[in-house]
Amino acid sequence: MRSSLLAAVLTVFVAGATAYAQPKQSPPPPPTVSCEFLEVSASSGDKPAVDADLEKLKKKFKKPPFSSWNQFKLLMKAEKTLTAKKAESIQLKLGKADATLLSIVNGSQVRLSISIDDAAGKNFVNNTSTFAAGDYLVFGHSLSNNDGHLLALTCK
Amino acid sequence: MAARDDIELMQHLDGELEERDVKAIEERLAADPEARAKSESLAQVDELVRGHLELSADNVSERRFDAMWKEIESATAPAKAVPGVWSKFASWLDRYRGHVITGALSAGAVAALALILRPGGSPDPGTQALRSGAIDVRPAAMRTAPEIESLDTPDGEGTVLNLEDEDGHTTVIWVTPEDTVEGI
Repeated sequence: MRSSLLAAVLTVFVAGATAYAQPKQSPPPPPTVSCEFLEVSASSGDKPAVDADLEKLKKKFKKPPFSSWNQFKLLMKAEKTLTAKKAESIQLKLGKADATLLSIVNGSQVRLSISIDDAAGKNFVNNTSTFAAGDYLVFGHSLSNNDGHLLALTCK
Repeated sequence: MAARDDIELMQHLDGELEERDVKAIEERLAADPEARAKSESLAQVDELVRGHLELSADNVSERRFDAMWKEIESATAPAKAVPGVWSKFASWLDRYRGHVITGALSAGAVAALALILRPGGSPDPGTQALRSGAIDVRPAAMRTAPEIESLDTPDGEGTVLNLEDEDGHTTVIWVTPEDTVEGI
């Protein structure tokens, strides 16, 4: 009886020690996502025109607030791999953006913060959002000449 | 017929006859002097043979008997299996099965606790999903609506719009300069 109890206690001790002594897994690499940034100029003209690179956004441009313009031209396109907690700078034709991937939510959503400066270097928006991979996030403002200036981004 | 009678007499002497036959023989012996004489002769011969056999048996030494018995025992005894390590373990397990099960369960629980409580243990599900590959791009209809956590528009006003169609959600953050807002 005593020997069997001793055996049980020893087994428990050995199992615990073995489990604890297992080599720890190396820390996982920080999450990364691939994001596409599209800088767009919106203006009004005689004929509607949308650049071929903006085909995916064409349908959205027919809705407010974009419907104020009928010509959309791609100013800059950038593919960036965002690493969690690491700010990535995107140089725009008319300003600059800093994007930071904060985390991945539920394996299919991106939690991201972005800060955008205008062409004069003046910060005009700071935002933190969570959006689904494949969806678009579009920042826009009107310029002094009534043209629109947009920055669209999507991640996957 | 005479031979059969002699056999019956011998069987009678050896006590091998049934009760009914014993009665018949005894009646015959009482009535027939020749049969009675034969029976007495047979009894004497039987006595002689028994005596001779007993004397022969007495001449066999004790040691010889012991050796014979051992030989007989070893020939007739069932083969004894030498218990191996496994059978010893099995019998031990049979005796302490309850303790062994308790010990195994406790060991499992301790191992599980040690793994859970170990620093740097289970990573969060989001990180785990990422470790296995790229972020999951779900079909548009299954995507979760975007969530604006914070929005700061220095010197302006921010308007958030959600355009939803078959391609998914498009979140528009439109910034209107303050002077324009005041103008309105």
